[in-house]
Amino acid sequence: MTPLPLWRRYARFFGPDPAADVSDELRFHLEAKTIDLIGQGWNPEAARNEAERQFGDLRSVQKIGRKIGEKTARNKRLADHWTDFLHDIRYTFRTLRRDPGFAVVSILILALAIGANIAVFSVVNTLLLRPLPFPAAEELVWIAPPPSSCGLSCATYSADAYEEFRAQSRAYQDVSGYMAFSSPDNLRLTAGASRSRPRALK
Amino acid sequence: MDTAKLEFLRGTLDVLILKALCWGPLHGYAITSFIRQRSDDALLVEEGTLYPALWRLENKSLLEAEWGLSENNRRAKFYRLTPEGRRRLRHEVKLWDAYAAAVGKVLAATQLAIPGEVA
Repeated sequence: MTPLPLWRRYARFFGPDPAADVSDELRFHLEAKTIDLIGQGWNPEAARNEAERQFGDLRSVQKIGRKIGEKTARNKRLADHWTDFLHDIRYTFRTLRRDPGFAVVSILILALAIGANIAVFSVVNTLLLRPLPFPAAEELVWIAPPPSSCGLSCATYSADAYEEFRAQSRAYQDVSGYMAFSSPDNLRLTAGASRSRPRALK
Repeated sequence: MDTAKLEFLRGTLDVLILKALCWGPLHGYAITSFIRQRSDDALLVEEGTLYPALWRLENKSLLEAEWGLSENNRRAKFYRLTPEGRRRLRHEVKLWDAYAAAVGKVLAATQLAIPGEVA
């Protein structure tokens, strides 16, 4: 086999073309056969016909060839991607091993970044993304006074204001309160009625 | 015996193709010529089976193909054995020898039972 001269290698400049490969290959076969038959004394016209006759159903063979060729081209492309990927990985590891200081720093930075990401995301996820664990959680609202300089510590209502909300509000199905600063069994005595039971603030 | 009508046993063509390529790359037409000449014209490979077989072997990466120039300066597709193809050829030749020897022994039998052996 003689390798193709350089200028004839651009037949597939725009990527592989299995269909053209198949017809080129079969055309070559027919030509070679024709030339052989002419060598045996056939006249060119008859030789050409005889070659085609011996070949049989050219079109169906071409169809098979196209199908297999496309499959082969696809496999080759996949294999190329895969070896490229492996080469990249190997190259990466070689580079990192050549400069361990750089490797350590970049791994630390990556670890920090991933850790920070996880931390922030888990907060955002529980506070903002995941619905609250109650039925109809999207109808739940938090009644808060306008923001003030002391932040959430001042965002409170007195127990009286809470009872007022509870009694007067018609916009909500129900109003409930909670004590943000101490344990759940914190008690409040209602004024005046010394014999009434202390009521727990929810 | 009508030698021109020897049918290929399934899988035989693949071995013959691999064998034809064991000296170096060839194009499809040269492979048919090799098989025809080496079998003294007893085995005629049909193009309609040869090329699909070649493409399948290429697809299984037992062969790899490359475009080159033929003896008369035409662009032709040359096939060569891959290392895996060479391994397969050795394996198949061994299998084929064992098979042929076994069939040969059975066909050469001259009597029903080997003396001294209980059927």
